[in-house]
Amino acid sequence: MSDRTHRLTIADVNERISGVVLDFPKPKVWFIGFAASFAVLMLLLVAIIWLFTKGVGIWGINIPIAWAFAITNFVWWIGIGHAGTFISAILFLLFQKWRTTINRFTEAMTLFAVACAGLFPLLHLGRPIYFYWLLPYPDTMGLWPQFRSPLVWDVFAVSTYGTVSLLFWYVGLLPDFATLRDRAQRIWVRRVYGILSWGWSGAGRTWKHYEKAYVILAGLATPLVVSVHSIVGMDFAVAMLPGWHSTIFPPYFVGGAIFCGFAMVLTLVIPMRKLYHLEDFITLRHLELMAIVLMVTGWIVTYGYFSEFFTAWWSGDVFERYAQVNRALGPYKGSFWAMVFCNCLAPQVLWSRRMRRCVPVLFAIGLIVNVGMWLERYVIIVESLHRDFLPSSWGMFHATFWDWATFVGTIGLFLTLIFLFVRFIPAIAMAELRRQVAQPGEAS
Amino acid sequence: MTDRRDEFSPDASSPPLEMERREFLRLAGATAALAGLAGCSRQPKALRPYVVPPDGWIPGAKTFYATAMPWEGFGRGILVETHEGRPTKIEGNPRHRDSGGSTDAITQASIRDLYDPDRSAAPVRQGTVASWADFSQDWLPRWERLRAAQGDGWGIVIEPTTSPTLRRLIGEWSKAFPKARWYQHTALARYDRAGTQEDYRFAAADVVLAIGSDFLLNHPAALRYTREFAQRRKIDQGRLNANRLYVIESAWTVTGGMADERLVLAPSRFEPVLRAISDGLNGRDDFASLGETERDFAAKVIADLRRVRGTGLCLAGPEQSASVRTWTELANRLLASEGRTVISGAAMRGDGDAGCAGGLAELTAALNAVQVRQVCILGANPVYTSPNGSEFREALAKAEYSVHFGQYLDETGEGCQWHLPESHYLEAWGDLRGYDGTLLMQQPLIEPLRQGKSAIEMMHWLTTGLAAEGYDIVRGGYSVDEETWREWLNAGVASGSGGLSRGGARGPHALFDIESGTAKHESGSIELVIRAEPYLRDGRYANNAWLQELPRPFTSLVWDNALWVSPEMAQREKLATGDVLRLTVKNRSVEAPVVVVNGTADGCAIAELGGGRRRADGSGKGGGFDAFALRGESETERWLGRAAWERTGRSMPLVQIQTEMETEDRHPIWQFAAADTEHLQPREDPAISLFPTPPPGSPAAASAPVHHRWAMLIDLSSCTGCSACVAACQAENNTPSVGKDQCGRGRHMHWIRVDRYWTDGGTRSAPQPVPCMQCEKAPCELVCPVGATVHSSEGLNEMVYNRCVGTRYCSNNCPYKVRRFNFFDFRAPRESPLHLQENPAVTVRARGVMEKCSYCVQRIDEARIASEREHRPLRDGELRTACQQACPAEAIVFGDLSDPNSAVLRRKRERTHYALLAELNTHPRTTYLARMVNPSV
Amino acid sequence: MSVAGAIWGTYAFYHSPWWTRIGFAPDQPVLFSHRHHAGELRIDCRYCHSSVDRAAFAGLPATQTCLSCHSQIFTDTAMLRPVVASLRENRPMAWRSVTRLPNFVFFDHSIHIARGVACASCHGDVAHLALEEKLQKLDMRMCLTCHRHASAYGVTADHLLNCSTCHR
Repeated sequence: MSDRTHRLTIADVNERISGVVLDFPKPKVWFIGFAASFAVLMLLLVAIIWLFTKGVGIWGINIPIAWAFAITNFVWWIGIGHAGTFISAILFLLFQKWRTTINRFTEAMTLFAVACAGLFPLLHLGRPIYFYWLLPYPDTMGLWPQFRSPLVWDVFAVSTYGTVSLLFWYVGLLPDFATLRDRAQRIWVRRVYGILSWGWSGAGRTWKHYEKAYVILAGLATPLVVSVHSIVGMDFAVAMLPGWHSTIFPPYFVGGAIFCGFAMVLTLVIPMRKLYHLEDFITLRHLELMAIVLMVTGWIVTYGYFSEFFTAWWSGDVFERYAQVNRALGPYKGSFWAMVFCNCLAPQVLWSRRMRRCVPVLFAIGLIVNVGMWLERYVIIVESLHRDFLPSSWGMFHATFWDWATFVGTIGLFLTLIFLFVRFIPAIAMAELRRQVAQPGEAS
Repeated sequence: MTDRRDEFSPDASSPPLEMERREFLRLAGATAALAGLAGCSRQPKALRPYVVPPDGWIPGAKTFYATAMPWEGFGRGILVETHEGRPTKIEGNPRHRDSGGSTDAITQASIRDLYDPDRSAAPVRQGTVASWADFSQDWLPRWERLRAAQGDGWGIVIEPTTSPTLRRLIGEWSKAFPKARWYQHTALARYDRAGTQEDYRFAAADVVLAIGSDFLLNHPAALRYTREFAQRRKIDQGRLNANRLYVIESAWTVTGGMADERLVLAPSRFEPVLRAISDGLNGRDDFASLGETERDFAAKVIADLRRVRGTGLCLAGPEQSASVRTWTELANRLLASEGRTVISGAAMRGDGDAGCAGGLAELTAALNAVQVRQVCILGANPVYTSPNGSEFREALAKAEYSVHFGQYLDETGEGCQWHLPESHYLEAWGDLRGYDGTLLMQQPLIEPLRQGKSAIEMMHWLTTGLAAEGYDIVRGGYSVDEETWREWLNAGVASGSGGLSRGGARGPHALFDIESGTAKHESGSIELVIRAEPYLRDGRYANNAWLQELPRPFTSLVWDNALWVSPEMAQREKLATGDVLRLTVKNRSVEAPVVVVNGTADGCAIAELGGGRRRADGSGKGGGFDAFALRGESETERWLGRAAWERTGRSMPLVQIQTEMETEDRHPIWQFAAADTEHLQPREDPAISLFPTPPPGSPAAASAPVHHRWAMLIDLSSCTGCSACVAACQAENNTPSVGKDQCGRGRHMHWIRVDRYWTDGGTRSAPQPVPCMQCEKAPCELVCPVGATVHSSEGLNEMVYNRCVGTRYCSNNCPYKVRRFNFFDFRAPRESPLHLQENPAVTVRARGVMEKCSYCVQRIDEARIASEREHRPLRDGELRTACQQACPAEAIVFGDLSDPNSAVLRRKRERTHYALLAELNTHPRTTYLARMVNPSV
Repeated sequence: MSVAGAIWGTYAFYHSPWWTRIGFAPDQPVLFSHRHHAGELRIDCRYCHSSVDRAAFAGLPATQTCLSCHSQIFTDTAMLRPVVASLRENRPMAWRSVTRLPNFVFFDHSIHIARGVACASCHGDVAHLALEEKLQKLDMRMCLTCHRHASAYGVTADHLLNCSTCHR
C-alpha cells in the first residue's frame, strides 16, 4: 500500500467516491464524453440495421477470407474482458490488496467488453435469426447442435462467462449501493439505490454471507479466466488451416487476453483518476504493478509468436512454413510488423522504473498494446485465410466502410456503458477500501 | 427473406395448372423462414387439376425432347429437359456425332437466353413500341410495290446457314423477286474453301500439327474433335496409345493448352517456319532462316510427320491466311493423309452460295449507290460486327426503308426504322445440318414467350406475303411419310443422313506462296491477332450472365475482354494488367485494357471480338472493348493486322477469378511424360489414422457400407479446360451469377471451377476441374456448429441449406475452398422470368447460406427412387452428374465404388491415380488421373 | 421469470393447433366427403390421386375423374353442380390443400407407396372424415419416427437418415 492511502479516513472514502455519483461533479466533461460515445453507438446501430437489411456481404469478407473483422473484434473484446476477472477473482484469491481500488472498475469493463464481444457471433451469422440453433433445446426437427464444433463450445463459454461476471460484479456492488442509499439526499435516488441494494442492512450476518458468496463467486470466476479464451483459441486451433492449426493457441490466447485487458484498464483508469481526482485511491503504485503485469504477459505473447514460427519451421510442412513467411513478407506484412512493434517492442520501455511511473507513457503504451492486440487477431485470421492450400483460390481482403463502422461502433457502445457506469455506480469498491483504510495493519 | 412461391411473370407460358409452386413446379425457393411465413396465409393457395388431363401426363415428371441448336449456322443435336412444358436444361444428343451426348458452355448457357428478360418483346418502330399488325400494315403495301417491281432495290442480309428449309426459302424468294439481292454476313470464320470443307479424324491421327487453330473449342465440330482427340490421351488399364500435338500459335488457345510441343510465333514468323517444314518434308532440311527454338520445333515436326506419314495431320484455323491453309492442304497431300485423317467434302453452310450478292462491303456499296433502298437484316448485327460500323450505319441510314429482325434490340436494331423480335431457337420449328452433314430436326419446346417469329417464318412471309406456321413451312419441305417424320422429330436426327459426301473437286491451288514479313519489334506499333471470344463469340451472347461470368481460359477474366500482351513486352514497355492502351488502325482507334499472359508471342497483341457492346441491355452492356474496329475488310485483314498503340495513362479494374497460377510447391498437378508410362510408381493413399487398422474379418472391418459409395474421377490427361462442366453445373444446380463487382470481391458462386497452373516453367498449362472433393474425413463437417454439413451413409458430404446459419467456418476449414456463400440475396428478382429456368429438383438458396457441389444429389435420388420403384439395382452409368454429362472429353467419371464393375472403380485403379492434397488425409472421393504430356524426344 | 414465460409462450404457440393447423378444414369448391368415397364405397385412394405411385406429387382428380361415375349417378344434384359446371365451362376446380410441406422438403409419394407406407400413416384416417381436414402434425420429428425405424416397414436402406434424402 502506498503511504498516501494511509492518510485516508473512512469518511473521505465514502465522501469522495460516492460523491462522484451523488454530486455529479464536472457535468460538462461527462456530458461531452457521453454524447460523443453515444453518437458512435448510433453509428453501430445504423451499421447493424444495414447489415440485417443487406446481409454480411456489406463487409469485405469473401471466399477464402470468410472471417475477418467480426471475429477479430469478437476475440479482441473477449480478451479485454479478461483483465477484469483476472484482477477481481484471481488477485482476490491471492490476497493482492492493491486490486481493491481497481477491481470494481475492471469488472465493469469486463462486463461491457463481453457485451460488445457477444454481439459479433450474432452479427457475423449469415442468417442471424436462427442463432438459437446453436443452443441445445428440444426442437420439432429432432436435432441437436453439433457438439464437436468449437463454435458451440463458445456459446457455452461466453454465456457462462457473461453471467458469472455479472453476478460477481453485482454482488460486489451490494454494500456500496447501500452506502449510496444512505447518503443520497433526494428521495427517489434513495429509492432506486435501495432497490438495487436489495435491502442491505449491514448487519453482521449479512456481511458474513456476503463475504462467503463473494469468495465462492471468485472461485467460480477463476477457472473462467482460463477457460473462455482457451476455447476461443480452439476456434482456430481445431481448424486445419495453416496458421490456425497450432496447439499453443489456448495458453497463448489467454496470455494475450490478459495483456490486452490490462492495457485497456490503463487506458481507461488513467483518464478517470485524473478527471475525478482519484489519484489517492488509484495510486502510481497501482499503475506500476499493472505495468509489470503488462510486461510479463507481453513476453508470453512474444513467446507465442516465436513458437509459431519455430514449430512451422520445425514441422518442415510446406503449408505451415509458407503461412508464417507470408505473414512476415506477404501482402499484409505491414500489419504484421506493426503488431510486432506494438506487442513485443513497445512494452519493453517498462523495464525502466521511471517509465513505469510516468503516467502519460503508461497511457500511450496502453493504447499501443490495444491496437497491437487487435492487429494480432487480424493477422492470425485474415493472413492465414487469404493464402491457404491451393494457390488457385488465394484471395485478398479489403475492409469496407461497414467493417469499420461496426468495429468503431462497438467501441462507442463500450464507452457509453463506461460513462453511464461512472455516473451512476461507485467506480471504486468503497466497502473493501473502507476495510483497508480501517485496518492498515493488513496492508503489508 | 420473403415467401417466393408464386413468381409467374407474364412472360411465362400459361401453366397447365396454377397451383402452389411447391407442388406444381416443385420449384423450391427455399428459405427456412418460408416455413414460418407460409403459415401466415391461413387460406391455402388453390390447386387446380386439369378438367381433362392429356394422355400419359404425370404431374411433376420431367421429359426430354430432341431438337437442334444453331452454332454459327451449323446445327448441334441437343436434348432439352422440360418440366410441365418448361425447358430447364440442355444436354447433348448422343444420336448426333457432333455432340455425342456432350455439350459446350455456350449450349449449356443458351437456355438462359430463352428466359432473358432483356430479349426484345415486341416490334419497335423508330424507338417506339408497336405491334406486328402495325408492321404488316406498314409493310404490305410496300411489299406489293416491290413485287410489281420484281424486287428492284430490295436487299436482304442474312447470316450463312445450313438450314435446308431456310436456304430453300431464300431460293424461292430470289425467284419471286429476281431483281432483289441477298447478302450474307458473318462476323466470324468461314469454314469452307472453294465449295468444300475439311473434316478431321483425330482418332486416326498419330501426329497433329495445328497452325493457329483452336479446333478443340472454336469450331462447329469441336465437341466431336475433343472427344476423338481425348480418346488418344487417356491411359486405359495401364496402356497408352498417345497421339502427339504440335501447335504453332501466337497466344494460348484451349488447343494450345493441350499441345505436347508448342511454338509461340508472331503471325509474321509463320511463313519461314512453315516453309522450312515443307522443305523438310520434301527432304530438303534448310533451317537457315529460323531461330533456335523455331529450328528445334521444325526438326521435331518433320521427323515425326515423316515417321507416321499417312496418320499425320496438318490443319490451320479457318482464321489463317489462304496461303497457310493451302500449305496445310498440300502438306496433307504430301503425307498421303487425305481421306485418312482429313476428309474434305461439300461445304455444309451456304457461305459460298452462288445466288448471294456478296457480303457487307457489297451491301454498303449498294446502299451508298442507292441500288438497295429497302433492306431487311435477318438475325445479323452488322452495325456492331462490321469493322467500319459507323460507315455501315450511315449507309443504312440512306436506305428509305430498313428492317432489323433479331432476338435483341441491338446496335443494328437501333439503326433501322423497324425492329422485329426473333424467337429463340427453343421456340421455333426448323432444321439444320451438323458440320458432319447430319440433318437435324429443330422443334419448339415452348410457345414464343416474347411474340417472336422464327427466321423461317419471316423469310416465308417476305416471300409470299402470307404468315404461315413454322411447322407447315418446314414440314412442307420434306416429302417423307408421317411415321418417318415423327421418328425424325423423336430422334432429333434424320435417319440415314450425315457423313460428308466426298467432294473431291477442289478449286485450283494457289502456288505455294506465303506473303512474307518479319516480326518488327519497334515500340508504338504492334502485330494484331484478332479472334472470336471463346464464350461470347462475336458478342451475340454478351447478354448471357452465365457466359460473361465464366472464367476465360488462361486469363481467368470475367465480364471483360482485354488485349493480351506478352510478359516481355509488358516488362519492356512497363505495362501492367489493367493499363488502358489506345490502339489505332487506319483512322479508327479503340481503348483497350491490357492483360499480361505468358506464352503470348512478343510484339503481338491478341484482341478478342465480342466485347464493348454499345447497345445491349442487362449484363451485356459495356463489358470489355470493341475489337471489331481493329478489323480490316479483306479476308486476312479480318484476323491479322498491325496497330499503332499509345498509353492513355489510365488503368481500369479487370476481374480475374484465379490470380495465382504458379503451383507454389503444392503439386496440385501430377504430370508425366507418355514415354515414362511403364515406370510410373502408383501413389499410395496415405491412410494415416490414430486408430489401429481393424484385422480383416473383424466386425469393425466388416462394417464397411454395404450400399453405394459414390465417387468421381477426373482425367487430367483429357481435360482441355473448356469449362463446359462449369456452365452445365450452373444450369443444373440453380447457382446464381453475381456480376463483375461481386466477382471482384471473390464471391463468384461456381460449384465446380477449372483451375489452371503453369507447369514446366510456364511452357505448359494444366487445367484442373475442382468440384467438392466429398472427403471421407471432411474438415468442414467437424466445425459446423449446427450440423448443416454432414456425411451421408453413401459418402456424400451433404450441405443442408435450410439448416445452415451461415457461420462460414466450414469454408475456412475446407482445404480445397470449394464452398460458396450467399453473401447477399443473389436470387433473381421475384418477378423475373429467369426463375422459370430453375431446376425444380434443387433448392434455390437464400441469402446467408453456404452451398457447394453435391455430386448432383438430386439426380442420385431420382435414379434411386426410379430403380427402387422398379425393384432393380442401380445400373452403372445410369446416373450421371451434370458436369460428367456435359464433358466432351469424357474426362469426368462418376459412379459407385461398391459396384466391382463400375467404370469409376476401374479408372481409379490406374497407375496415374492420385488425390489432391492427399497429405492432408481428408480421403477425397473425387480424385484425379495424372496429366499426360507426350513431348517428342 | 419473464424469460421462462417467453420460452413457454413460444413453445405453446408453435405447438398450438392454430400453427400446426391440426383440424384445419378449408372451404372446398365441392362438399366432398372422404368418408363416403374412401370409407363407405371403399374407392382406392389411387383412383383419384392417380400419380401417387408414379410421381412425387400425389395428384388431384381431374374433373373428368369425378364425372366417370357422376355422369351416371347424382348427376343433377345441387351438390355436384360445381363439378358439372367445371366440365361445361372447361374451368378447373379450385381445391384447397390441407397439407403442405415447406419448399426445402423434397417429399416423393411414389417411393413411400412402393415401400408399403400406407397413406393413413401420414395423412391419418381420412376415410372417417366428412370434410377433409389435417389430422396429423407433419414436422421433421414425425418424418424421423419412421425413417429411424424403417426396418419396421421391412425397409433395409441405410440412406434413410441422410439429409439429402429429403433436403437438397
